Formats: sequence, structure tokens, C-alpha cells
Amino acid sequence: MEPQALDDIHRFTASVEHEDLFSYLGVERDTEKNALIHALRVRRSWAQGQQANPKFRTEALWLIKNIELVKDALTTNQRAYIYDLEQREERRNLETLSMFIKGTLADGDLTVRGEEAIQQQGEALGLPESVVIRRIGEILAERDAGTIRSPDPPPDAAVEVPDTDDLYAILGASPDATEQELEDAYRKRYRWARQLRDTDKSSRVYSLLDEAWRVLQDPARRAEYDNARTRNDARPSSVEPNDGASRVGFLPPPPPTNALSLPTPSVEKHLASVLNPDEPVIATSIDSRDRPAPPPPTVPPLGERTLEAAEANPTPPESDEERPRGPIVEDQPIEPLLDPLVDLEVPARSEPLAGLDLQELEPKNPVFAGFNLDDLDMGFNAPSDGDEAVLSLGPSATSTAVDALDGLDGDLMDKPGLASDGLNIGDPDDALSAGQIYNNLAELRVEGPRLIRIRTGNHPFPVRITVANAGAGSMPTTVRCDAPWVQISPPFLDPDRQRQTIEALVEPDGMPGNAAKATLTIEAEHGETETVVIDALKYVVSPLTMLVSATVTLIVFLLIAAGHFLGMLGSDIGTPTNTILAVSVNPPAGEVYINDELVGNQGTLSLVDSFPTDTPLQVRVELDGFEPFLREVTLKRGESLRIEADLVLRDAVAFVPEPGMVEAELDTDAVDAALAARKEHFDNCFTRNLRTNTPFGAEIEVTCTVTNRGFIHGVSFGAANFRSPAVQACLRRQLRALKLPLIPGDYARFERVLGVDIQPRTALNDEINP
Amino acid sequence: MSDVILGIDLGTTFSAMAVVDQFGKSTVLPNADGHPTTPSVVHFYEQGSCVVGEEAVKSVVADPGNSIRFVKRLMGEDIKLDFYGDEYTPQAISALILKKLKADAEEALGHPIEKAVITVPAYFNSAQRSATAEAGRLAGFDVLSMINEPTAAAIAHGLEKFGAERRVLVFDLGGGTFDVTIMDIGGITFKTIASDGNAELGGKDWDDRLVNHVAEAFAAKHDADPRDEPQPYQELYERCLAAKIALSSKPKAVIPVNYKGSREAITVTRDEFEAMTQDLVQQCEETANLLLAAQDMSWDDVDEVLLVGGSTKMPMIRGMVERLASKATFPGVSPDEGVAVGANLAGVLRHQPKHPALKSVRQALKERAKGKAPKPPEPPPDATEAATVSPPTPPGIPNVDIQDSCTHPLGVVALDADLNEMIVTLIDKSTPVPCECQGRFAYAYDGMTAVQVEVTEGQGTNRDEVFVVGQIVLEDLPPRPRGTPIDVVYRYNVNQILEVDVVDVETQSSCSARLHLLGELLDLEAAEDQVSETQVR
Repeated sequence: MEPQALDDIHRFTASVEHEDLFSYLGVERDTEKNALIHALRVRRSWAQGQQANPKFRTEALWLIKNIELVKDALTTNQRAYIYDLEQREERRNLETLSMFIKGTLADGDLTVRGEEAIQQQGEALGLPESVVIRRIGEILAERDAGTIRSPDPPPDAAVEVPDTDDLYAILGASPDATEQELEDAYRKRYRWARQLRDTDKSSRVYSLLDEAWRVLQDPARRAEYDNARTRNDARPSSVEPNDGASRVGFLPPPPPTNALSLPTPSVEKHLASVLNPDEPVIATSIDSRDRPAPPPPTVPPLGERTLEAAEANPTPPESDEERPRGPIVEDQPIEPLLDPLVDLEVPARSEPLAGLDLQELEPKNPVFAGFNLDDLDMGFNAPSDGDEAVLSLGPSATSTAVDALDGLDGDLMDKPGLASDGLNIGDPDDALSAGQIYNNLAELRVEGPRLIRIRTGNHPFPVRITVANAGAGSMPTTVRCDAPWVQISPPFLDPDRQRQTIEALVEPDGMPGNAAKATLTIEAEHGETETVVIDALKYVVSPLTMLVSATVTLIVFLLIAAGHFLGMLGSDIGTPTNTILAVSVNPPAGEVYINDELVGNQGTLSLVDSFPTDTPLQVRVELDGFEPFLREVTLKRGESLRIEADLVLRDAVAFVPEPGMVEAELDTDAVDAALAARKEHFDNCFTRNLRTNTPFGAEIEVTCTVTNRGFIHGVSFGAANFRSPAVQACLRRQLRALKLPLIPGDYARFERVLGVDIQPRTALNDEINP
Repeated sequence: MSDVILGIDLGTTFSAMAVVDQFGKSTVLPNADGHPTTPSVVHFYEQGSCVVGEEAVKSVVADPGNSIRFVKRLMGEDIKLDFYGDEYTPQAISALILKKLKADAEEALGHPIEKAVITVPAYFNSAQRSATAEAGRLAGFDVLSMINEPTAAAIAHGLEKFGAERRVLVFDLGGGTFDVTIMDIGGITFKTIASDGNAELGGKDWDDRLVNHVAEAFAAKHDADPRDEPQPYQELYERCLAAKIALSSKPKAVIPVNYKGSREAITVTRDEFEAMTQDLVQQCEETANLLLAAQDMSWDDVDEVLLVGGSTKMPMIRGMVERLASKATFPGVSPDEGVAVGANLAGVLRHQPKHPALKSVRQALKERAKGKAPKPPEPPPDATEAATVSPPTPPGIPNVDIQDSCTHPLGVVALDADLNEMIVTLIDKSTPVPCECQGRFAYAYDGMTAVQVEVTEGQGTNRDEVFVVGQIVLEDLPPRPRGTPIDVVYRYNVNQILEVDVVDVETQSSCSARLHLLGELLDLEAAEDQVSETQVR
């Protein structure tokens, strides 16, 4: 059908407030042809009777005029029409979702709660998760480009949340306020904070307000706080930091100019032989193409992806042609790459290039100025736990250097923590003499690395630092940062918690240059202090950097050419010996850790020579709400490896009945009714994710656990006559959206077989979706 | 074969017909029910059988899906209506109405009738005129000519009040169309100076306002809208129509609504009705004002105002016109019947000038010729055309001169310097017909030997804004270089025939073609069969 005709039909159905012609005629989409024609004839007769009626004139005349078109859309070209409807629905849903995302972002930054809300909205709209995440990334990019404006500040902007630890002052309420007054005060402040133009400020205010509200709304905790307050307790705050309130920065896939080179097909072939073929998650493009023919027709091909999933996987950038780029990295002067914190100097194997003073070329950014952007890589930190010494390897780290480091690391690990040794903890007298009333057996421990190198685009990048109290008693702690472009939340830690996570949000916009360092000081009141350094590299090409890298490339190329010509240089300089590790993450917002070091969250990531070779590496990808992805790999020097990290949505609230809980009988009718109400969604899970060549009835057994409130928590799957994790993930989401009536016991279970008939792909579909 | 010419006013809501009676006077012929007008309503009671007129009106309420009202508003549209599986075009439906009129007239006169003159609103475009002509043909009439409704009304009036030359404004507000026309009439000369209107404005819109008002008032109380279902709507419409007519003579009307078990009598006063339709009156007034302004005239220049069409019986319309045309006289013409009589007279004047009915006219002309300066007989404006349809006028008796003007500009699709399409208007709106206009163009390509003239109708500068009413390909032009000047000449006459000449300016070699803007009326056999096979009573 002509797009114009489809547009006409769509405009008509929209004008009469119907989704499509089927709902306009009051029939189902699968109604047989004769019944459709009959329904249309009835409506046509109605239109003839109403064509003079002022209320329906336009509608009736349109229908009379376009009766042939409508008939065509309903019968001859029904498939094309339905396909068009689906396309429109998805576009409309995406538009709705975009409005929702923009609305969420208008309140400030994207919080985990906001993101959950967006995901729920996306789910309600039937959009695949990957599409939702991509859209968030796009809108964040738009916002950064300044296209989305926050609403104007309120007229009473004079209302200021005082910079105080007094929870009542934070809410702007008096200490003897009633619960209602407190709530009103909280809501007023909250509304005000929503309208702040300064998102940094509003997010700070939010966390303060939330924390104050959490304490004061609970009568027991409020009484406790009041007691402490009236005793004129010097505790700065009894706020409880919110573990979950960390922000996630989503990034759109990097533009192609910044794309890192990926293994060429020849390298991938090599990879395929190296990899264990049974590892389904490590897949190379060659691998999937060269697989044997799909299994028998009744079982859908396992390797097939849905359309959405295929879209969500960012196409790997075209591999650059093999240029002798390796030597550039090899010959980088190692000096500037070493972090000041590094105690151990790694010997550089290669001589620096003579006559090339990179620092002179770009004094502001000596570390990265010389890099060809395609070769930018991460410093590698050896795993450290509680060590002050952080080992940083430059790109030219060799296997011998790594061996040496490993040995040293082992030595260090054997010793007691330096920090514990160097501080007088565990001595009660010292703490008491300082006038503190808490038990001073506390012991500050920062888990994870002390030097965090991150690379980021223009989007805020959250870095999480876990702080633990290895001792006993309370440990009031403050966290400060010397750089204005890092926002700490929460700035005060709950003294009574053993372990909590600080989120340091790196805002690349505020960075003084493309590379900068920030020092976080974590200061416990009993005197211990820890520092964590964030070394951030902004992933943006500045013209100067481009010029410099182009110059360097040219000079090196000339040198190599000269070297070849004169036969003066070593043989290893002309052959590429890069070791490349590429990690492709889906959804593209996952954070990639290598041996616990955060190396990026850009979706697709390539590391060149910036990790130890010949030793096992742990690659971990994390994203809120998803099961962490873990992979141990060992790369030999010169090898390339691509890891496809497809994150699986976590069944976050799996329900395990405790002993003593009573299992209740479920009202099966209610379950069936609830399932029937969402049947369309369940069916979509199958039809959108399964493809087949011969029709078959897909079936899967599901077992759901229902909580006493009627929510479905645990979802597990039994026998199925197909294999598709995507269907399971989709069904799990859809099942969890069910709401059943309250049940008499503590929990209940039900088992059902869900399924739908899957039709084979048709020539029409293939034509439309090449 | 009789020579009787039936004048037919094919209206949106009512149709009427007129013939010259045994006393030599043109009068309206009542239908089989004895009414002067016949509702333009068709009801199909079974496949291939329908009733037209009063009986159909009564059936609409019971069976709205198989009935059709206001088919005139659908004329010219490419749509089909379905009755028991048979598909009818609006032309075919109109033909069924005409067939009913024809049958009634034949029964009353006792002999077959074939010739007819059918009226159309002045503002109808070619497609709508062409559809009306087709309807006449389908009904078995030999349509002698089509005449504009205001012109017909003016003829009916002018021949009755034969006299001095005067400027007449015809204000024609019918059931579904609105025309305002400025004419100069004097003796048997009827010259249309300008005409404007709206084919989508008429008494129906007043009805709709009342229907909406009542339905909304009812819905506000009972949470049910009688418009939502066809049958209650038709019932409501009938009651509102009656109330509208009542409000012309009474200060208030009561409209009872009984829908979904709720009953409510809604009272509408004339003031309320006038308030809710004030913008429609305003629209009429604006149209008339603009038309006068475009001709550099004012209401004071108007000597007489003819109020035509049933809707002019509403006091608000009459009051508005009387207020504006304070110096003009309002001759009493019948708003419902004048057009049919005028159509009949025009047919007789044009095609049967020796008809006895014109005896008084001839007499008057003779007296006038004696008393005043003899009026030189004007040559027939459309000599070629007149020759084909009417016998040569005997010398001494002047032919009737009906001069129309274009209501829609006629143009041609041309290419500009960058070979982009543009519309060049050759015959402007309000140009008196017949007329000859020409435009100078140039060869767009080197050595072209044929030119395609696409005739457009309507105001606009690109193809989407106008109708392409026909295209003529003129071949055998001498091959010339690009830029050679060429003239396109349009000659347009009252019978809607456009002659197009293409003249190579330098050699004066030319070729020409004719285009009937009412369409070629081909491939009508199937439709003719359908109409003739459909039983009408």
C-alpha cells in the first residue's frame, strides 16, 4: 500500500480516537475476511445514515469516500497495514517514552529510581529494554547539547535549604511539628528543589531532603534523633545514606571518529580457534556466521536474534586497516603515564622517540597528548585491597614487568595493611580524649582500588567507592573532594553502618582539561584518613590533540619508513604486535571492570596493550538491575579477543519462602483472568523473539511465587519446546507486572504453561525487514 | 416527441420543476403528491428500488443507512454509496431524483418529456456542473443547457417585471449552497457582473447548529447524545428542521427529544437561535460585501435585491439584507419556485424563441422599440453554439441575451524559467462570458512540436491548489528553438465550452482544440442502465 494511503488511514483512525481500523470497526485483528467485510458494510451503512450529521459528517464522508482503501487495508493488504500499525505504535511509544524521559530528566539527573520508572514505562509501552536504554542515552546527549531546558526557577527561589546538619532545618520545619506539618514541609521543599535550574544543587538538595525525611517520618527513629538532638549530641548527622541512590550515567555509543579499532576478520578467525567454542557469550562475527545450519524447523534457531536485539547491538565500527600503529604506543615515553602515587617504577623497554617532546606540544595534557585517539588506552592498576600503593602500568608494560608486579603484589598482600599499621586505631583512650562518645574501635577501610582511572564522554560518570568499617562501633565519616567536577553523595556516611557505598559523580563538563585528577579524602572522625584518586580522561577530541596526534603519527610513520629504508631499526618496530581486548556491552551502559578496575561504560570498548598479557584477567560488566557478567580470559601477547557481554536482566526480588511460612491456595480464576488480561503482552514475548520456518506452537512452563500482597516475585521456567533467553526475560518482566488479589497465607505458587503459535516468516516480512 | 422544456431546480433539500402552462405562462408543476416542491431525498427500500420525495423523508428516520439526503453536497466527489450491495455515485442518486420529477411531470402532462434545463449554483465548479449534467443525462433528459441559479431567478423576475435596466443583487441562500450575484438586467438582457458564494453554506448549517444545540443540551442532562445513533439523529433533525421553520414566524419553538428512555422538551427562542447562528449570517454578509467591494460598488448601487432560496425566509437573513441594502427594493419573488421558473423561461428563450409563452415578451419589446430608441439587435454571443441547438433568430425579434460571468478563474499549467510548474491565470474570475483571453508563453524546449495545455480551474499558483479540468494536446507545431514566443488563447462561452488555440507568434501558424468543461460524458452506459433499471416511485 502507498505510504500516503496508510497515512490517510492512520490520520482518520486517530481523528476518531481509535488505534486502528480494527478497533474502529469493533473487530479483532484476526477476524476472518468475510466477517471483516460484513463489519465494514455495517459501518458504511452507518456512515451513509450519518453523512449529514454535523457530529459525524467528516468521519462518515471520509469513510464513504475511502471505502475501497479501507477495504483494501483490511483484506488484500492486511499484512502491510498491520505491519504499518506496529511500526507506528513503536514510534509513538518511543515518543511517549521520550516525553517521559525528558520529564524525568527535568527534575535533575537520572537517578536509579528515575531509570527504573523509565524502564517500567518502557515495559508498559511494550518497548524492548535495549531500545529504552538507547533512547535514554540519546536524550541525555540531546540535553547535553542544550536542547532540553529545565523549567524556570520558582518565584520563591528565596527558599534555601540551610547548609546544616539539623534535619528539621533541612526540611524547614520546627522540631515540634506534627507528622502532617513535616510532610507538608518536606513536599514544599521537594517541589522547590524540582524546579531548581542548577541540577547539581537540586540533586544535593534531594539527597539531603530524602535523608532527613527518611529519619523523621519514622516515629521511632525520629524519637531517637530527637533524643540525640536534645542531648546536644555533637554527632554531625544521623542520616542514613541511601545505597541505591547512586546515579547512572548513560552514554550513547561513541561516535565513529572516536571508535577504537576492532579486530580485523583475520584476527577474528584466529580468535575463533583460540576460544572455547562452547562459550556462547564470546562470539565473534565470523563465529556466528560460520555456525552450522540452524536446528530442525520445529525449534527456532538459537542464534537468531530479534529485530530489536539486533538493533540494540551497536554495530562494531569498521576495522581500521592494519597500519603499523603499534610502535607509536610502544615508543611512548613511559614517564608521564606513571601516576604520582606509584611507588614502583616500571622500567620502559623501548627508548623514547628521539626529538619528540610531547610535553612541549601539549603542556596542559602531557599524558595523553601524544596518543593517537584510536590507540588511547587505560592505565592498568594491579588489584589492590587496602593498599596505599597503586601499581600503574603504562601501555608498554611487558610480560616481564607484569610478572615482577605480580610478585610484588603478592608480597604486599602478605603483609598487614599499611593503613592499619600506620594508624592508632583500637585505642579507646585516644578517642575518648577527643571528646567523642562513640565507641572508637572503628577502623576505616576503603575497598577497591585507590587510583581509579576512568574515561568518559561528556556525560556524568558515576564512580562507586565502598567504604567499610572493619572495626566495631560507630564511625562518623566525611568525604571531601578537592575537585569541583566531582560530586560526592552522600558527603556524610552513616556512622552505624558497616559498609556503604559513596558515589562520586564525575562531571566531565567541569573538568579543567581533557585529563584531570581529583582526590577524594575520606576522613573518619577518629582520625583515620583515606584518599582515592580519580584520574579522569575526557573522551573528546580537541583540535590541538588531533593536530598533535596527527603530527606524531606522521613523524613516526616517517621514522618507520626511514628505518625500513636504512635497515637501521629493529624488526619488531614494523610489525603490529598489539594485544587487543574488545568488550561489547549490551545494553551499552554497562560498566566494564577489568580485574576490578573500572575501565569504561561506553558500550563498546577496546583496550590496546593496556592490560597484563599471559595471565588470567577477570572481565566484569555491571549494570544496575542486571546480572553481573563475569569472564576470565587469558590473552597472549599479540592476540585479539572480542567479548560480547549481553547482560541479563536480574530477577531482582526472587522470593524464597522461609521455614514457617504458610503456603496459601490461589484463586485460580483470578490468576487465569490476570493472565488473560495480559495475554497480548505474553504473546508478544514469543512472537517478537522467536522466528521459525514452519509454524509451531511455542510453549513454556512457568512457575511463579506470589507474595501475600499479591505481587509475583519469583519466576522460574520449566520445560519449553524452544530455547530463547530473550523470551524468558520478556516473560519474566511481563509476569512480574501482574497483580493478583491478596492471599490468605504468606505466599502462594502457581504453574502455568504459556505459549502461542509462531508463524513462519513470510515473504512480506522479509521484504519489509530485509 | 414533445417540445416541452422542463425547467428543473435541483436543490440540496428540495427540487422543483416548471413548464409553460396552457395559458402560456411559466409555472411550477406540482409533483404527484400535489406539492410544488419535492424533497431531494432518496430511500432504497429494497435492492434496486427506491422512493423519492415525501415518502422517502418519512423513511429516513426508520432506515437512515439506506437513505440519502443532501446528495447535492456530494456532487463532483469521487465517492460511491452502497445500497443493498449496489454502488451508486452521487450523479446516479441525483438522476433518481430527476427521474422521479420527470415521471411526475409526464404523468401530469400526459406525454413524454425529454428536454430540460437544470440549474446549478453559480459557485459550482466544473466538476460539480459536470456531475449535474451527467445526472440529467442519466435520468433520460436531453439537457439543453445548464444555468446558474441566480441567473434563473433573475430571468423569472426580469421577464415578469419587464422594464428598465437596473442593477440586481441576487442573494441565494438555499438548503446547502450560498450564492450572491450582481446582475444588470434590462429588457431581455441579463448580464452577470460578478458572482461569489460558498457551495458548503446553506440552510443545512442552520439546522446543524440547532441540532447540536439541542443534542448538547439533552446530553448535558441525560448523559446521552441522540446524534450518536443514526435513527435518533434523523428524528432529531426532522424536529429541528420543523423548529427552524417555526422560528421564522414564532418567537420560540419546543423541540421534544426522546432518547434512551429519557425525555426532554428543549425550548429554543428565536433570539437564542439567532445568537447561535450569528457567524453564519456574518459569513453571508462578508461574502456579499467582498463581492461588491471587488466590483467597486456599494450597497447603495443596488437597485433591487432578489431573495432566493428557502433559507432567505429566515428573518435574520432578510433583516440583514434589508439593513444593508436600505435603498433597494425587494420585489416579491417566490424563494422556492423562482429558480425553476427561471430555468424553464431561460430554456424557452434560448431554444424556442418563437414559443407562444414569449408573446408578451415580444409585445413588450416591440412597444419599447417604438417608444424609445431602437435597440440594435445584438449578435448572438455564442453564434457557433447557438447554431447547433437553436434555429436562426428571425430578423426583427432580438434574441435573449443571457450573459454569465466566470465564477472560477481559468488558467494553464506553464513552466517558469527553471522549468518548475506554475499556474498562469488566463481568464480571471468575474470575467463576463463569453470571453477570449490570451497569454504569451514560449517554447520550453528546442524543437518541440507538440504542446500540452492543461486547463486549470480555481485560484492558486501551484497544481495542488487548483483543479485540472481538462487537458488538450496540440500537435503539429513547427519545430522551433527554445524561447520562441507562443500564444495560448482561451475562448470560453456560456455553454462551458473552452476553445484553446495555440498560435506561433512569428509564423502565425496555429492549431486549436475544444474542451467541454462539463466533461465528455463518455462511458455512461453502465450508469444509465443502473438508473433506468432502478425503480422509482
